Order: sequence, then C-alpha cells, then structure tokens
Amino acid sequence: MALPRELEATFSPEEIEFLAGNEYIDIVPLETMDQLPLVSATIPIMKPPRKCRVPLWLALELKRQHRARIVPPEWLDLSNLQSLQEQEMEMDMFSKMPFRWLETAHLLLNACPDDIEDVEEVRRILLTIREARQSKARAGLEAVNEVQLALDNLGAMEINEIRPLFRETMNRMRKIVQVAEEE
Amino acid sequence: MAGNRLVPRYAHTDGLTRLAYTLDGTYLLTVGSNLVIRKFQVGSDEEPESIDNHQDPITGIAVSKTHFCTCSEDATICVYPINNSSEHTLLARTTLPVRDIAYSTDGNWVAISSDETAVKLVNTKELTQIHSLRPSKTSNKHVSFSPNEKFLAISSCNGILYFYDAQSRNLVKFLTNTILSVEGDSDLTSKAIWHPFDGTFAVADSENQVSVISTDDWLALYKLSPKENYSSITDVAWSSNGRFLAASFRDSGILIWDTYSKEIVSEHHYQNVVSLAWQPFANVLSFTTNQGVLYNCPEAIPLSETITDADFQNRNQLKNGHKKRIFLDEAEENLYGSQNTNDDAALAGGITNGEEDFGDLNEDALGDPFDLDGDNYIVDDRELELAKKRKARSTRDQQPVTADDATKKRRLLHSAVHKPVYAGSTPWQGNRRYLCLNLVGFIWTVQQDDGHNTITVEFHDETNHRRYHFPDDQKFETACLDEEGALFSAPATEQSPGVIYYKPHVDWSRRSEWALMLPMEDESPVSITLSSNVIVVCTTSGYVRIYSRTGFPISMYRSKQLPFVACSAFQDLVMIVANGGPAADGTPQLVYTIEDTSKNYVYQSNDGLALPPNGELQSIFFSDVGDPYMFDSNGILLVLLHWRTPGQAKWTPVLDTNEMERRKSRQESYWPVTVADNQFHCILLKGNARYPYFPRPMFTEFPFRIPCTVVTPDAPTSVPALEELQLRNAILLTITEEGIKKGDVNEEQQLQVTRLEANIDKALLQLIQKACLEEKLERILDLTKALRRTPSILAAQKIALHHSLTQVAEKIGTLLPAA
Repeated sequence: MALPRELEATFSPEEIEFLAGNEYIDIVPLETMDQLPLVSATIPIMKPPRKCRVPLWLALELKRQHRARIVPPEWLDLSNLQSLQEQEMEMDMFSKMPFRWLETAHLLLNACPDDIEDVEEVRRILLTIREARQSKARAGLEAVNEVQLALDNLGAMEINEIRPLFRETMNRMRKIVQVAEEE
Repeated sequence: MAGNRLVPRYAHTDGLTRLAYTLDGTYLLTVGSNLVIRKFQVGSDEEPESIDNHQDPITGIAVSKTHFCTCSEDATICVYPINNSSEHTLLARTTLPVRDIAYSTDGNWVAISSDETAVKLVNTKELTQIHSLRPSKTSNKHVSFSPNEKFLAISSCNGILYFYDAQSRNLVKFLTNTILSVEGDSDLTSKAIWHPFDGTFAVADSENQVSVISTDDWLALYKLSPKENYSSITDVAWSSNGRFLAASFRDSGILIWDTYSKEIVSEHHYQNVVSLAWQPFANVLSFTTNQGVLYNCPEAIPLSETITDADFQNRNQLKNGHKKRIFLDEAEENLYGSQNTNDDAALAGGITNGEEDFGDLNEDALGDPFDLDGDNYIVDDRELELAKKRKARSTRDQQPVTADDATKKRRLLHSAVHKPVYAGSTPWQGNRRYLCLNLVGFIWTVQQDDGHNTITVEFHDETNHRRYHFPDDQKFETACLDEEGALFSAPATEQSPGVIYYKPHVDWSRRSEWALMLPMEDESPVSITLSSNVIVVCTTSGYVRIYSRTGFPISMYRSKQLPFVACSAFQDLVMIVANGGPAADGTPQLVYTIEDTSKNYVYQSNDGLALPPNGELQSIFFSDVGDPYMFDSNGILLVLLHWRTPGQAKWTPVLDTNEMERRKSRQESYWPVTVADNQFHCILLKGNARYPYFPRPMFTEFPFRIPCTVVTPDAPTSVPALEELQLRNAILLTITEEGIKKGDVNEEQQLQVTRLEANIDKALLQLIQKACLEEKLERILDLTKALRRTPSILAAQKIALHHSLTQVAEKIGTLLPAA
C-alpha cells in the first residue's frame, strides 16, 4: 500500500516512539496482579511493593490507570545528565547516550513527571543536550560523501531526522560520481 | 517535647546572611543580600520590621546597648537606635566594601574592617575621632572587641590574627598558624569569638577544629574537634553563660560542645549555615543560612540533669571560669525515661582531643553549685600534675590523649544505656513523621495546628485495603502495621494513662476496633508489636504484656532485664530485646529473649545480642519466614542461626552494606525495612539523609552476600566469589532446614533443601576444579569433605582423575559411603 508522502523517506516521530515502547523499564505496582503470558513477553507477577520489570508500553498504560509508579531509568537522573551535558559541551563527538534516549525521555516526561526527581531541571538539561547534538549533526552532515557518513552515538530519533537528507544526498552524489567515472 | 521541626523564617534572598540579638534579648536582627535589615521580635511570630537603607548587600551587624550598626558592600556604615529603627545616621565611609564591624563594650567605639588594609576605629559620639590601624598589607575580614575591654582582635585575610590593646591601640600580639587565610567575601570564619567573661576566645583553626585560646599566654587551652566529615567552619558562638560553644559547618550542620566536658552535646543538620547567634540567657540558638533563611532552634541542647534551663538564665554563678569536670554524672534514667526518638543527637559524644588541658584550675571546683550529688571525682594529685604540665608547656602541639583512653573514660559513665529502637519509625521531620514503614504499607502522622495529630494509614497494595486517616487526640507515639490491622500506642500523661489502640483494616463485625489503658499508674508503653496471633506491649514498669488480637490478656511477666530496647513478633514467637548492663569496655550490651506464646516455651532467655564494637542496634525484626534479623549501626545485616535450641544461637552476618559495589560510587545509606525471599529490603537514602522523607519512598532489594572474602566485582567464577557462594548457600540451607518443622516436610521445602545443597556442591566442585589446576592436594581433600551429596563426591573424584591426581582420587574414594 502506498505510503503518504512524508512517510516515504523516513519514519515519523510517533512511529519511533512506538518502537521505543518495547524497551524494558522498572515499575512499582500499586496492585497485586497475576502473571500475564503475552506473545512477545511474559509479564511477571506483580506484588507491591516489589519492583517489576515490564515493557515500556505496559508501564505507561499502568501509569495512566494509576496502577503503578514508574522508576526512572538510571540514565535519567539529574547528576548523570549533568555530566553528560558537560561531556556534550566539551567534545566534538557525540556523547554516549542510550540509543532511544530522546523518545524514552519524551514519553516518560509526559507520562510520569511526578516520578522523576527535579523534573524541571531534567527537562532543561535534556533540551540543552538535544540542541547541542542537533548542531553537531548539522555540522557533521557536511562531511557526507557518496560512500559513507560516519556519525557515532546518534540516537534513533536523531538518525530518523537526518535520514531523508543524507539518503537523497548520497544517492545524487553517487550518480554524479558514476557519471564522472564514466567519462 | 522539642522535636526537630524548625520553621524557617525567610528573611533575605540568597547570599551571606548575618544575625545578632540585642543585648537584652528582645529583638533579633538579621541582615542579608537583599539590602534590608529585618528586626524580629523574640518570642513572637509576627512579621518583622524591615529597614531599607543600604545600596549593596549588607555584610555585618553589631549591637550595643542602645544602638545597632550595619555595614555593607556599598562601603557605608550606618548606626540606628534600637527602639526607633527608622532613624539612622551615617557613621563612616570607606573606599572598599566593608566586611565586619564591632562595638566596644561601652558602645563608644566601632571598629570597621573592610577590604582596605586599614581597620578604622570611629568614636560613636564624635564622628570625627577616627583612628586607623594597619596590621597587615592585606584586607581584613573580621574585628571583635573583647568583653573585658582589653583587646581588639583583627582577623586579616593573610591568615594572621592581630591583637591590639583597646585603650592604647598598640599591637600586643599576633598569632600565625591559627586561623585560615580566607578572602574577604568567603563564608568561612576566621573571627576571634570572645568568651562572654573569662578572657578567652575561640577561633576556627586550620584543621577544622575550634581552638579556645587564652589571652594570658596566647596558647590554646583546648581544641574541640568536630565529627568526621564536618569541615569548613562558617561561624562559632559562645552561649551567654560561657559554657556551650556552637560551631556551624558549611555542608554538615551545627555542633554544640559543652566546654566543661569537651563533648559534643548536640548536633543539628542543616546545609549552608553561615551565621549563629545564641539568644541571651536562653537555650535557644538562632542561625541563618546562605539562602537567606533564619531558623530559631529552641532547646538547642537537650536538657538533662546536668544541663538545665537555670544554666542559661543565671550567668553570674559561672563567673569562676571553666569548672573542671573530669567525670560527668549523666543521668542514665533520663535516657531511658524520655522514650524520645526525637533525640537523635542526645549525649552520644564524639572523641575530643587535648584532654590534658582543663582550663583554669579553680578551688571552687569542689563547691560547684550544680554538682548536686557531690560526685566530682577530682583527685588532688591529678590536678597538681595537670597544673605542672600546663605551666611547663611551651609550644608543644596539642597531642590528643589516645582516643581509646578518652572514649573508655567517657563510656564508663554515660552512654551505658542503649536507647529504645523503633524499627520502621522516624523522628519528626517538619511536622510529620513515619510511625511505621514496612512491606504492607506505612503509617504517618501530621501535627495539626490545634494540638491534635492526624494519622494516615496507607498500603502499598491498594487492591485489598484502601488507605484511611483519622484525627488523633491522644498523640500516638508508636504504631505497628500488618495485613490485618494496625496497632497504636500513646504514652501516659498527667491526665490519662498509657493507651493501646488496635484498628483492624476490614471491619466485618463493625465493632472490632478496641483500646485499652495500661493499668498501673504512669505506665507508658515503650515498644509495641503485633503478629498474626498476638500483640505485645513492653512498658515502663518493666512488664511484658501479651494480648490476643482481640484485646484480652494472654500473659504478662516482668522482664529480668531492663530498660527495654525493642520487641518484635512473628505468629506465635515473641522476641524482646533489653539492656543487659555495660560491657567490659563500657559500651551498652543488649540481651534478647525469644519465646513461643502458644506453647509457653522460651527458646532463648537473655542471650547476648551481638553488637559490633562501639556500635548500636538500628533495627531488629523477623523475616517473612520467621527468622530473627538485626541491622546494626555499622550497616551490617545479621541473621540468628540455631535459635531454636537454647544456648546454640549465633548471629551470622549475611550482608555488609559497606562493601556493596554501588556504595563506592555514591554516598548512600540504607534504612532497613525487612528481609523477605532471602533479600534485604531497604530504603536508599541519598547523601546525608538519615531518614526517609515524604512522599513515599521506594524500596530496593539486595541479595545476601556474606562478608567472608574480599569483594571481586565482575568475577563470579573467581575463587573468593565461589567461596562466598558456597558459604552463603550453606547458611541459607541451615536457615531452611531449621525452619522445617520436624517430621512435617512439605514438597516445596524439600525442593528448596535439595536446590540449596546442589548449589553448595556446584560451587565446591568449581573450587575443586580450580584447586586441581593448581595441584593443591590438601585443599582438594578438604573441599571434598565439605560436599553434601554422594554424587558430588564421585564427580570430585572424576575431576581429580581428569587432572591425573591419582593420590587425591584414591583418598576421595575412601570418603565415599560404603557401597
């Protein structure tokens, strides 16, 4: 079936978020629940106040129903983010962020700001990191040639953003080089 | 009962904030970075008066009998009459920001220290009379006049303390190597804080200690050391009776020492305290932080028999200088009778240094007005010796008496009684506290303004029970929660006797909640606990009262050991912990008793509770399968093995929270909750926090790790890791086997036993394998003897043969049971 124009070259941000929903995260259930054997995974028995490891999509759903609290992942903590921010500012390369950091952070900040400590500060720092990386990506794109483009440590959403650009660019450059070689 | 709840007053914005009481104690003045002076009425909660005058942040304030003056970074010094603060007169101007000012005792002179190199002395009556002192080529941070009108002390930013004669303005003395060299705008203090009347002064010295130096010989009389991790002294203040010295530390809080005993008598944890002031003639300490917040702490020092309110009101009695108190007779009864979980500092003193110097020797020591029992153990020969030592001293370092000696003496006579331990409960934080925190839920109480409390009971698992709250007039002090109901207790007051109140969660008969009063006069509950079958109350009269869950008494007896420390219960088992008298080195010893209430059988009677050296009990509880566990103040969790046989019980450590990997990278402490599924459930406390705060904290679980070998991270098959694994499984096996009732093994338990035995053998076989590689024949044989199952012995033999160690293989063969 034909895709709409904007989806032909790359995924939409919502789709990327959907894909990120499969990552595992810890929750603290508020109610006892039995084991849930699903196709992709088996959800373990939930017994408050013990923590439980479930896929993110289920965690968000439970949080929405007020049946669980989400434990923010280790990297989403203020001191860790501050050191990542410093790294980001100092280095020219991208700092090592979890692959799906942007979409996971976005989902968590929207769904459970009350479970995250210093949530405003965290938001600010994430924005700063995002902007820094965006400018680095822009600068890095200039190095594209017809064979390869190497940008290490990019997040899934970030790759998704520049995909249309470098796909198209590399295709055309390849054609040009081909023509040049034929001559 | 003074709690730790201090209501902050927001006086100024972020930045250096200073405060001073007027000499008669009616007003408290604070100054700070938002350019206003606030004048608080002492004892009232009214909004303070604000006086707006300076153009730049105000850095200092000084008071005399009728006026007070402020100095600011805008290089002006203004004087205001105390009663009519809207008038002010400009006293002087400097060229650079002013850092500190001081009034002379008669109020005629004001000394001004600023970023200039000169210290100005201005006559308050004739503003044109100005004297300049130039002690050094650097700017000056602090000035202070001595109360006896002899000296003016100037702290320069080069780290030297200069002393000028106040009348002649000649330099009398300068001291190097005493104070730190600090910048003018730093919040650390290098000021010489004069004692109210005896001519000594205290300074924060370069080693984070408070030195008290006498002006007779300019040598340190003694030094007061803070606890570990306390550094960066930001202010020091003497109480108005000259006995107590408070010092604030930038990151850690405030410590108060009793200068007679040189012991820390009180500590308060607040961040960023920059300025202290004692309320004149009262046991109230006010302090400000560099966020501009003012706190007034009433009963800054917990009262006891030796420290009373009279101490503070009556300053004349103490004019004779420091009384030499070598042994303080602290009232042990006070520690017991107070039931005060709020006393988290109490009298657990730190080790102080410089014990040889006891201040001015004084004949009046024997006639000390506060020595009510005449128990002053002052041996004359000793005094003489000390006096000789002191006179012969020149500039030797203040070497401390070996810490052991000092602590031993201290411990002999106080801290010999262990305070009661309330597992799952916290002291007051603000106006709230947790009464009980466990795996079922938690109970907390909030103090309302009109005298009553509100108690809320919340559950982790909201499917079965809904949370509820109720108003509480009786001010319940302790509570206990389990799946079926909640138990509360309140101490006896003048109007009412001690109360126990039980409220079940599910009320199918509508009348199942009940309350009972303790029958004897003045009998208060010390600790309470409940289990699925019984409710236990230990009281101040020394009785252990056991009731059924519906409130009728099952048994009661008087404990052989008192005072009580804790109690815990599990189904029919009851464990009571009490003080057992001081140990050989003076530390308190605890004993425990375990009995089965239904069979009326005592498993252990007054057996010793294994506390670490110089440690205390932090929590004691039964696990989910009914084994006693304890958590001590050193962070170690221990289980009681073989407790079902009298005389066989052993406390075995199963987890040392200090050696956990995560502890290394961050500062954390662990607040114990319980043990379930062979895992330690606790609450992670970040940084310096000592108690979990609101809203509800999260639990973390840690598996056991016996602290028997060195920790090797990321090497689960290394020899130490395997050794620990086999020991851990052996201990778990013992716990499981003992938990099985005789002759009544069910399938699950049998499975567990087999699984644990298999784990032990697996670890041992891996160790045997490694030992074979190194051909340690003796060790191989030893390890084989520890194997639990016959097939494992055969396997060990095979391994030995595989490595061609035939000798060992033969010896192993002899270990096999006769086929």
